Amino acid sequence: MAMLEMEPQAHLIDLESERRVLSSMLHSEEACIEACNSLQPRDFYSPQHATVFELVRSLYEREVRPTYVELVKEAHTLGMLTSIRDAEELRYIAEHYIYDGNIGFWVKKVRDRSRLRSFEAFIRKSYQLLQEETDRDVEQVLMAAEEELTNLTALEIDDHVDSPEEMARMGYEEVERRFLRYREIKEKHKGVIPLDGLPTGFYNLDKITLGYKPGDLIILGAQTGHGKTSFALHTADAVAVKGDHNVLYLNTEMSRQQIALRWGSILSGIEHERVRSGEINESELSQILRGYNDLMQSGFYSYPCPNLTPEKTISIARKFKAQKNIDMMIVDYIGRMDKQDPRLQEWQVLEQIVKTQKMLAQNLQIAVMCLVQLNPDGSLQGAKRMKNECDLMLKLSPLSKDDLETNPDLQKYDVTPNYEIYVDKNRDGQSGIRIPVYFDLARQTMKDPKRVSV
Amino acid sequence: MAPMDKYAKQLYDALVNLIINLHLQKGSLTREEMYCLLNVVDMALVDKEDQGLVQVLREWQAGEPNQEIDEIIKVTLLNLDFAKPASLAAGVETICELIRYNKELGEAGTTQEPPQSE
Repeated sequence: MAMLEMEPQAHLIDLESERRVLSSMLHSEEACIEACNSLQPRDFYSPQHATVFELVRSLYEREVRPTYVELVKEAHTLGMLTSIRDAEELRYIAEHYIYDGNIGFWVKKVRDRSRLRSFEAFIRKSYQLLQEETDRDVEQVLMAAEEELTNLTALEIDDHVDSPEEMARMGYEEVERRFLRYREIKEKHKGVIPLDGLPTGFYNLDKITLGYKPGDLIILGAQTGHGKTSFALHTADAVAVKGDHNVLYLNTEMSRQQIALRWGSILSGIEHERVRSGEINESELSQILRGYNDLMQSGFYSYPCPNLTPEKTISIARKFKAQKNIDMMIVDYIGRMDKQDPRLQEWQVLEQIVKTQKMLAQNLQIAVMCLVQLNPDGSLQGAKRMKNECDLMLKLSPLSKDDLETNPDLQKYDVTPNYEIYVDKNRDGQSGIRIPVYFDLARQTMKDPKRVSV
Repeated sequence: MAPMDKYAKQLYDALVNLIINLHLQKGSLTREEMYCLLNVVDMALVDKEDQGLVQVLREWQAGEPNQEIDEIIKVTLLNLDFAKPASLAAGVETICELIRYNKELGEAGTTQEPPQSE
């Protein structure tokens, strides 16, 4: 217990910065807004400073200009200014005048110290736990610690407001980049559009999306048994095996062996059932070996985890971003994640998960693909909310016999498409488009059927 | 709210500290007197909307002292609700009348019943 009650290290306390922030809040509205947006009372080490911050914030929220006088009146009315000693501290704060333009610097100093103190307390608590000789479940202890640490490093969406100059500059640079790219397409690539992001593995989807971009959240919905995992591995194949990027693949359903066997079939083009049963000849075995050799050289990292939680995805993604510099994470699939709060409805849990994944994609600047299960009627629970959060929403579904018979367009391919990808939402381009694909169920592979002239 | 000039801020801080000390340490100001003076300092130096109060107080200080009228002005100030513009405006009007009356008294050289304060 003694460990927990210890004072934090001296360099983790910065009373000067705390006073400067408070003084600045009494002096300028800009500073007040910045501090109120970025700090909480708990960020101040001195309890007195925390109280002063709360008083100033409360005045500001009540639309009372928080001057030194108003602070004194408020503190006196609430009985917090009864002795000359109390007055001394207020005087000391008021005298810590800073130039308002520097408020961001001082606010950051206060917040950084506060976060480090929380980290120190976490380490102390963890150490204290190790000192106690109780028979604890190691997995539980480590999971709880991981969760606490994840909360400490909670991802914050950058709430930077663009000035008119920044917005104009960014807009011009973006248009100029596209202009140069268009010229390059015409002159060098003979009309083939280069991708902005990672390849999707489908020519037409690449054309519409220009690839999966850093910060994108991609949702792919499909019914049970209709190719979610095949789509995920097809994507991983395009990005990490055929491409030279690193992908983290989280699977909540399949074992390591099952995933490894799938690759055998995908990379060799031999029926999955035969690979699984071992009913292959020696030449096919060599073919499979060559396939696994490609996998060995690739950037595909697999993490099967049946008890996946949103917090765990954050910590795993951060770890792999730091260690392997992943460009994409695929979560197969989010309906199977553990519920943290049993009172929540299924769609509420999905909404929470999707929000977390979007933040993760933006903060780590990676593409995150989440696979979700569609209802038997092709609809998606909580679809509206998910659609709001994601950048690209795709639905994979089989083409009906009717479609195949009545749509003559589907006959104009080298192989008759049997599935389609419906682009339900595309933040950066066209949506409402149906892309026919061929899903080889036996080999668990997908491909673009090629147009042929009839 | 425009930030204060550095020297004005130093003066402002010093005045606020002095008023607090006079109440807490010396006991020479009552709670109401302290609040009143603090509000006046805020209005004079922080550009708060004062309904003309600061100007009226300057006129009062420039005029001839009259113990009875000064006492009424002080009571009027102590009873002002500085947060309410209507109360402030009414107080300013009363003080204006008292100053005018005091000026008239000085000019006439006679003693009359002062006007009723609100």
